[in-house]
Amino acid sequence: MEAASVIELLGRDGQVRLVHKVAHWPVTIGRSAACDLVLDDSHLAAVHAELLQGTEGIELHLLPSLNGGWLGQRHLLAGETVALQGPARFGLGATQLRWRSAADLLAPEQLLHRHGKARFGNAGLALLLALWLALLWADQWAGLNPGAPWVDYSNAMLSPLGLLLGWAGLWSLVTQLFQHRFPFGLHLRRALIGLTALHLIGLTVPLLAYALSQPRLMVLDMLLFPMGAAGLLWWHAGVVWPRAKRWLAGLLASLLLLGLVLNIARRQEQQHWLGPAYLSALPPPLFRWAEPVAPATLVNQLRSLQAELARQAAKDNDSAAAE
Amino acid sequence: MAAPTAPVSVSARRVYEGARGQLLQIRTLLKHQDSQASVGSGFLVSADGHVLSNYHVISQFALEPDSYRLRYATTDGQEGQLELLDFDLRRDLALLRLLPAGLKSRGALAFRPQSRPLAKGDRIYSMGNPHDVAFAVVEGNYNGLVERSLDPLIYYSGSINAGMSGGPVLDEEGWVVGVNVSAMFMAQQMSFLVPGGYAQALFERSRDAKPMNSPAWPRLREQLLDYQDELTQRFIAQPWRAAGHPRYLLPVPQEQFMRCWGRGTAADAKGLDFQRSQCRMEHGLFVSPAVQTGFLEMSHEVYDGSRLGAARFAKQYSSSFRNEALGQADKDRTAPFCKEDFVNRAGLPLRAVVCLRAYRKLAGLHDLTVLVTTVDAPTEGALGRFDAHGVSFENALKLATHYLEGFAWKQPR
Repeated sequence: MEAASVIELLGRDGQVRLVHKVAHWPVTIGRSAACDLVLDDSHLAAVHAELLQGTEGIELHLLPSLNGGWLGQRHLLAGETVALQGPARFGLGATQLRWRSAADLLAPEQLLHRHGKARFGNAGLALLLALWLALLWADQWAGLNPGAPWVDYSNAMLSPLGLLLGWAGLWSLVTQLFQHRFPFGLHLRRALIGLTALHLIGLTVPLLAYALSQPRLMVLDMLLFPMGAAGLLWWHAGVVWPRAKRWLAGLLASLLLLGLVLNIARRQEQQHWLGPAYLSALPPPLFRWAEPVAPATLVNQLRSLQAELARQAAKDNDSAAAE
Repeated sequence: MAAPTAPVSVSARRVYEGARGQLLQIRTLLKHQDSQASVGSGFLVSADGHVLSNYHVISQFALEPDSYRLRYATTDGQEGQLELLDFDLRRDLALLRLLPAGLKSRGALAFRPQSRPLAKGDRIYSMGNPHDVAFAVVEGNYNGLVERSLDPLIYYSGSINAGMSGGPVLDEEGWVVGVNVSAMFMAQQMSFLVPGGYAQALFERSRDAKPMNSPAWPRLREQLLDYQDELTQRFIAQPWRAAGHPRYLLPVPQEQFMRCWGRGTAADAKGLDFQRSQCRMEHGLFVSPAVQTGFLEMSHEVYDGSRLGAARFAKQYSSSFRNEALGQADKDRTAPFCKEDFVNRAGLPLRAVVCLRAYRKLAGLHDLTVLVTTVDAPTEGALGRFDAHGVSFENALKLATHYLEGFAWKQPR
């Protein structure tokens, strides 16, 4: 006996909109009320096609129509019959359908987001928000003189907070559009984790570069920010389009790579392709771990630049002088 | 209706009448059009048609002889071509010659003998063609030499305007005492003249030189290399002055050819207290409108953040350090190439950044920038900057070492 089968009606995003349980063979598909599966598609004939049990399994048979159907890239004309290998996706008129049977493997069950939320409850979210606001406050505090009025702090904290809530809200709206739910807390949490991590990296990398006297570590700072921002975008987008995670990762990685290549191309005449010209962080003496060198040692290091400077000087450059 | 001009004195009229035959307007024109790119002045110094002017008046022709040409116009409207024989970049002078058959019978202005120096207050008369309006004579006074200048420069209290550059300045007897060169912006009647002796020396040195018909970069480079050698030697030979800081010795130059200015925060300031001192040579060498070089400048800022605490001080100290501009690659120079590290200066820990930019058309010449911060104290520090424009690689290293060695503890520890 043939295994139990369903025909799924797919939306444009690939999500299943309707599942039709096959009760008997053949199954007629079309706009007519007499069909077993009635579809609201003006590009279909009254009885457009039928699925039937053939000698080699389930077959799709096209009945007389103007638009016919599609199996992969193959256009099916009226009168044609093709065998289906489950699960098989096919098109009739402008409608996308999928036939699958109980014999086909199912994708693993997805964890409910509610379970994730349970691991990281409201208290965790509040704590994370408090940490991020504290970092913003500390940043502003360090830049202000003692005795600065509290209103000087309000802008520095309320504006980013407003932007953060707007950002989470926007992603929630997009999720609502595609997933029919409004996971504000989830997006807020992801944004907070991303922003806090980037803030902490922004504090740590210059400290480390200074402590070890390794100014090129600032390249990490320069690279991690766009990578972190892209990662955060991907994380948000994964909620909205969970099936497109790999595709989105590819797109964002390509954009990152393009940005990097353009940046490097613009800095061909610079000493370094990435990072600042020099390390400007000057934390307290506690963070100075590297041994200082004699003045002559530093000055002698310049000798290694002489040939490269001469090579760069020999290049043409039509940029007007900035001074 | 134009406002009535001040009456010219009888002496001025007499001096002008005596010199008008040798006075010229010098124009730089596009090679194949009559559009003028710049105008200046000049004067005849020999019966063979030698003309003196400023280098900056003819710099476009000197650098791009395929794009420009030089022409003169006399006070009575005669015109003709000029050729460039030589220049003295350091003194901003150029020696030209009228092309054959031009004005050779007009005579020449003579230089005042060195044995008869002028006295402060002597009347002298500057001539030229300001703003291409008309030939003019401007009466003023000799006020001696500019103080704190590497090269002698006459301080003339009279008005010199654009277009008069390269014109002669004569004494009551009609001797050339100087050549118009520049004026101070936002100042009244403060102008500067190249002493006549340098103009005379250029004339005598190069009167028989071959005309320069190719871009002058090699000659400029040669003169700049000589100049920067002398500048470096003279600068390094001077001991540093004390900055008056209670904790650090900071490099402050002698004011032999640099002028220093200072400012500080108000006494009742609540945040970072700082004092800034800035010293620079006020006269650089004009190579082209985009390139002025051959000068030194330096500054330091002393910070007291005791009212801020270590974290706030670190943030504001870092911001100041980050604001130092090093320049970017452009048509004339490369991007800065730097080395940086912690430096131990007689026990005082410093963070130092040393950068060099190379000149594209003046091979072997560089701009040097040294940034130094003291990094020994959590709420106190000093940030110093030294810039040398147009120095050789070796001299850049010497100057960087000299500057770094200007930092130390006030009291040995």
